[in-house]
Amino acid sequence: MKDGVNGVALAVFIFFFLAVTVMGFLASRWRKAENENSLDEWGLGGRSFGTWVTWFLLGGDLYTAYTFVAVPAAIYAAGAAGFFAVPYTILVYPLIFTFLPRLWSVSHKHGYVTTSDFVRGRWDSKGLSLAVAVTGILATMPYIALQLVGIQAVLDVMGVGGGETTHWFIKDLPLLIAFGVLAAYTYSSGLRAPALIAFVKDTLIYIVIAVAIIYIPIKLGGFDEIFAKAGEAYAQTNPATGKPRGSLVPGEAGQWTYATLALGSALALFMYPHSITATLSSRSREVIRRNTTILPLYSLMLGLLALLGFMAIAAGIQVKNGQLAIPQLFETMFPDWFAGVAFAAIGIGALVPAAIMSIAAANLFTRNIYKDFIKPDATPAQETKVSKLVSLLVKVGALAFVLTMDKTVAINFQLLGGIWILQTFPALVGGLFTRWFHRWALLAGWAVGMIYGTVAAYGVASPTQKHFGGSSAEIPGIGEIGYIGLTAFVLNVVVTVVLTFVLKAVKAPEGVDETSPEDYTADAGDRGVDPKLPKVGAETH
Amino acid sequence: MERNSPLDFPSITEVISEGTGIAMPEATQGKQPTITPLRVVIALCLFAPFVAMLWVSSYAKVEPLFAGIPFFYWYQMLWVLVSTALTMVAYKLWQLDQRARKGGDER
Repeated sequence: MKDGVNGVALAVFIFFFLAVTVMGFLASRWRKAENENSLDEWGLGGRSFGTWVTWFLLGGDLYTAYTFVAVPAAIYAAGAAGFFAVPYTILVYPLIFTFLPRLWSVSHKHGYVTTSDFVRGRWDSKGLSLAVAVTGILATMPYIALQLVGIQAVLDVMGVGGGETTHWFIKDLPLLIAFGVLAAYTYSSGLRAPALIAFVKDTLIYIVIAVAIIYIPIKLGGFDEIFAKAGEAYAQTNPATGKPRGSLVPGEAGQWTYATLALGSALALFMYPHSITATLSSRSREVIRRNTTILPLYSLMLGLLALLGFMAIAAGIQVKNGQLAIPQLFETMFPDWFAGVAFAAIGIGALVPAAIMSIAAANLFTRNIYKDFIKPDATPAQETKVSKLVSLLVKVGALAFVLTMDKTVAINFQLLGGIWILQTFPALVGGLFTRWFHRWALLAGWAVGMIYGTVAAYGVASPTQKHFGGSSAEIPGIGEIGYIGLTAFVLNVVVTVVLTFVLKAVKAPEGVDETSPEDYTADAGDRGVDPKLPKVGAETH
Repeated sequence: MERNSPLDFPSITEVISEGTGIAMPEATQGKQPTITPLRVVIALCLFAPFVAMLWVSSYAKVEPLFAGIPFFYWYQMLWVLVSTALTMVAYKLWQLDQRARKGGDER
């Protein structure tokens, strides 16, 4: 790391940051609707976004600053194993092609704002809906914290993070400012702010990747040279484990891990509340299907980005904290002004998802905890007010998390969050296609998956950590090493199916399904679907 | 899933027999009107990436290189494009399917 502050890069960074701040506040006037005090407006942008806005929003939402930093960092650290992110994002799109339009339709018909709203309506179980809501909030919190970690990494490399001896307040001041600004415009503009800022973010990211993928290999002597050097680096023995650092292609033993991580993560991605929020804000179900055909552009970008991890090795970047590898690569290879653009891309890349995630978590709290359990007669205006406040609280919580605890804690929790959120799949996606499952069986399956996943992850040791050292463990009965989340998910489904048979045999009450089959295929313009907005709070309880 | 329909709610089977409402091409085993060659093709388009990507041993190798990039990496990047094309085909076919069915139902 260079000593002192990189003035030019910092100036460029601040310029972009100010620009998006202004946009964030102006966003509340964009496509403004009359009933702005409803959760549909604040929390879903009026459910009015077309194909391109949805594309930017989803891209801005799913491909976060942490992704940009962590995926190449994983490649930098261990090679091939980190590339699973690419097949993972390939598998996401055929999956969502099949189930998201159904979720969109039923949500639009009944005014559902969150996945838990749907789960409650479909299964007639507040307990199950609470389980889904709590899982969603728990999984989202550390994700927000990691966005702040992403901003910190960039600030560190620019030299404004301060040294170990700097007073904590001075050291964290830039992060506090960034955070304050983010909180303020999310509060005032809701989902419209990140939707608008996502344009800037993605444009910057695409420019940076395009330049990086051409410019850096030229400077480093081409891809042959880069992979030759990376191959040498991976072959060297890691003193901590006594094994090679990594490999260019996964060996026999690593292939199960690779495939299960890709599949498990793909299944989990659209269980996250923030992905659903971005989906439900779209105008029609066609918008969603059309998006599955253009979203893979981001996967391509992610693949190219991952290659930067090899370039960091070839460029001789040496960092203790792998998260700094890519920002450091940019600073070393790019002229200062363009490094500033790259850092701005990562920094803004953190703000967009952090805003959407806090909105999503706040919606879950408001709809499925506050309204269901605390104040059932809350008006739409009250709901919006609570959601706004909770979105602030969620961010303060994430900030406190990042400032007071070690970064590894946030990473551990994020890893657990992925395992947890996958356990809501049977209730949600299962529910979109069938009501055969029994609601209590779903709840039991969820609990078993959560407990197994947590215990198994706790038991994973790594050279640097005794617990939560990774997300893979031996799959019982198969003996291969696989993703814990997927194993837990299979267990979850088995328990759900077996208990459903049992509960049906003893005729346990199944509750009343408030949805009807046509609801799952309704589109904007169909009979019974309000062309504008469903009236919030008017759904059948 | 539909195999369980005797235990199930009539709702699901109703949707299927109506034929208008299937959003999941895979979920079409069972009654006659729901399986059409078109839908089988759609299902295959959506399923192919899973076979290709989860069969890791088929691509876990360095050779052949492409522009200096090991096979393992460029093959998966290529699949981003292939799966995009397949999803696009599925989307177009799905539109055809829906149009045909809606036309039959409403007119």
